[in-house]
Amino acid sequence: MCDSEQKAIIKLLLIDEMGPRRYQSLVKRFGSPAGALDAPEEELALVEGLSGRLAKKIRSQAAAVDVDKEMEEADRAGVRIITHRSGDYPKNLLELPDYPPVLYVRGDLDRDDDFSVSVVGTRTPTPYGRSAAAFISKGLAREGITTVSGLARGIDSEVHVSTLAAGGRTIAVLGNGLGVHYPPENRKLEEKIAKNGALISEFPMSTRPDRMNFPRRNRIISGFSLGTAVVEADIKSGAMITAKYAAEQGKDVFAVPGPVFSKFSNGPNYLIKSGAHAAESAGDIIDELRIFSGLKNTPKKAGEPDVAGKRISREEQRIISALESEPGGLSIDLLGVKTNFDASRLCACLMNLEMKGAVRCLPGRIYVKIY
Amino acid sequence: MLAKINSSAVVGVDAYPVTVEVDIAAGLPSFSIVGLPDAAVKESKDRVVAAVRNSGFDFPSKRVTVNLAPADIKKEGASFDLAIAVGVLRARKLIDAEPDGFCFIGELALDGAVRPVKGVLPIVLSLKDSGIRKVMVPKANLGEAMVAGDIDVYPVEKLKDVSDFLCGKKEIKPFSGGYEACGREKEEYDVDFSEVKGQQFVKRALEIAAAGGHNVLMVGPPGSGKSMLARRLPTILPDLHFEESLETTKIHSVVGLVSPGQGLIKKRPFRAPHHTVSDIALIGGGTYPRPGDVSLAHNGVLFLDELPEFHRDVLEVLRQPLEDRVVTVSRAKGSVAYPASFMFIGAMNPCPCGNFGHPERECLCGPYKIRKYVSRISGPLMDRIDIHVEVPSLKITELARDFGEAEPSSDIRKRVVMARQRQKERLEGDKIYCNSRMGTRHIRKYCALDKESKDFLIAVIERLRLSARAYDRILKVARTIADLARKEEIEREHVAEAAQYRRMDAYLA
Repeated sequence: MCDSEQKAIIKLLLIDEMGPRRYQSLVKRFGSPAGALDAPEEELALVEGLSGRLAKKIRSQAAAVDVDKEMEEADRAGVRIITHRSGDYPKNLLELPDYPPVLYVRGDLDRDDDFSVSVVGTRTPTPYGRSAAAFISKGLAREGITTVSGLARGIDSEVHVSTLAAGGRTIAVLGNGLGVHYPPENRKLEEKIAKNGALISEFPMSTRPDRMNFPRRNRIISGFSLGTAVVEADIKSGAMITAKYAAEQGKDVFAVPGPVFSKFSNGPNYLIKSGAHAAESAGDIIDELRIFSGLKNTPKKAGEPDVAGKRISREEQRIISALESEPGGLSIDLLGVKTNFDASRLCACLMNLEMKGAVRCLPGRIYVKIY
Repeated sequence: MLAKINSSAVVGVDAYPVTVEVDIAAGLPSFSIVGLPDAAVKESKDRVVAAVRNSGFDFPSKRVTVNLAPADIKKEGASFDLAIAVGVLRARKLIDAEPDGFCFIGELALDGAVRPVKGVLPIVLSLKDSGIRKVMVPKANLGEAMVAGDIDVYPVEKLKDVSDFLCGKKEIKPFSGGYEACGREKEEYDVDFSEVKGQQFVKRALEIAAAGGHNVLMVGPPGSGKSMLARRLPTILPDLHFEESLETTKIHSVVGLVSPGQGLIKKRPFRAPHHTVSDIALIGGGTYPRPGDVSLAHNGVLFLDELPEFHRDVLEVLRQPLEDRVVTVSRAKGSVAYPASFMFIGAMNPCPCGNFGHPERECLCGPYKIRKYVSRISGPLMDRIDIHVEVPSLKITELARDFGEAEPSSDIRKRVVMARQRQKERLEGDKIYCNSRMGTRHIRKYCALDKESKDFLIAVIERLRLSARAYDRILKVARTIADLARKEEIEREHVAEAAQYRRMDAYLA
């Protein structure tokens, strides 16, 4: 599967502290990755951006790293390793000045994934943020647009889950190696993403999640897609870093406006003030990006299971109307007061509505309408 | 001379007759008690000597031997004091009539006063079988002693009064009359559901729990009102009937928890041991076995707050009484059984910091921490809990809001009683009395669903990612909901509501 050149690239990137920039200077100086691996220490030290200490390290590690073992490990985990020289390397990434020379991919990358939008946000969203993330992702998925996010807790997971629920494709860019499962509760989600999209990472298989890696990963999220949408984020957060990268990479930045009193609205509202596009729905993003619809991945129909029948009874409609005016959701108690239903009827109706996919229950018995 | 006096001792929650034999013989002055006495019984020597002297009698300077027959059962406690003292007086012929128609129970103070003892009710009840019709008990224990009925109960205050009465020098008026005499009027609970604002959803869950006898787990942040709600559960349970009342009073009597003057316990007990409780204190046992909190909650409610904080082995021992409704304490010498039929209510925070799902505060716990916290409650214990209910924290603005007049406990209780009656009629043939006790066989028989409801239930289980065992639990709870709605068949709406009380499964499993 790999010729010797690809193997050399992979090997070079297995060396500690080897990033895209250093890789590029080395290749520039020595003509090829293999040349860099064979270069004597004195010459390595002359390369721009490489100290004597690093040169020594590269020399000693070039002999020590076991590229075959890494490839075997990847193979066992169903992970493909592609390099920037491979034909199937995502073309959006190639345009980045600091493109990752190596990508570990679990699942499949599709040509249409070039028309993707990344949606990112806080790890601790409010009910509003969750609903908004789900709403935007589903909207994108229905138009056949692949969503990209970081598999983190909160908004990121919501994006992946909602996209898959709507029958779309989604790509998770990880800040750890694909041999490590983080966050652990998303294991099942990982499997689903691998089937309808891909998990990708630039880090060797067994790289553990490290806070230094996450900002680096964010440039891939923004770089992979045509535009980045921020749903809910504090002003200092990973999502804002992603937005910053997107702007630097010349991509469109979108922000979903939020309530002015919530600290998680600070990020997106700040972005809007600084010139980002305000996005109220997937349509806003699609119009701005001028993605032509009719991509081949357009799902035929939303993939919602239809067990309960979609017909909403009059009683149930009352609940939905009560929820419509409450973007942050309503506790079951207030819902009872608003609709004037007793607890028994309310419980039964809510369960029916949930089965119909019309409402959703969040921790603390807060119900929100699904749009 | 030799004297024989009737007394009685408690084993478990039952009593057996003990004959106190006192022999006074010539010899060096000594006082010994035989018949497997424990430390408290042995010490009764000193109390008896002082009480006899301070009541105006001489204590004989002879060899005094006391035998507690049957000699092979261990005797404990101070309740033989009175019998021994009367035996000494009788053996010295200071009492001239043979007091063999009487049973004597009481602890003596050094001045000759008679102090209350534990276990009076089981003792008096056991007298009915041994043919003794008269009993002398400490005055403070009169209330519970009278419960037994058709036994003459003589309340005594001093040793001197006892001897005077037996010599015919003083009159003590006996009481008898049983249940009727100890006041039929209902004891009122000092809490009521009408005091709880909002939380309609949790109240409804507790109503269903009360109606079907289902165990409940409440999950909610601190301050959301979990203990407040649990404390009010007994107020919506049906009133204790006489046998239940008697059983509960017996157990409370054994540990001395019946307050002076109180007859039968007519309120359902509510026990809430702290999470540092030891397994023996919770379940019962010990060298001299005594009932634990689960038995004290017999016919009532056992509430364990902060469930994950309990020691794991303590929670594990809960499984047997939850299943068998009885605690069996086995010793080499034999075993005793304490009834322990209670409704179990557990409460826990949703996560270690308590703020998970809180409308205003932020939770700082990662999913792994939450997982670890929740997993302290073992699967087998979880399996015995039919209803899981989230107790959401109200926002302060919601608390200030007018939720309208809340329903008083008495109204809820009427519905509970009605639903229980329906269950009783249905399940009588199977020798169970409420829906929570149904086994798989009964569920197949009484909780049949039509095709539509069945498909719906299966879809719900898949959608909410519930475990397979949730299926039977939902059916049982749906049965109770149907009973509350006076419906013979379980309908889809009942299933839909029942599933709400199971939706924490994915989170708790």
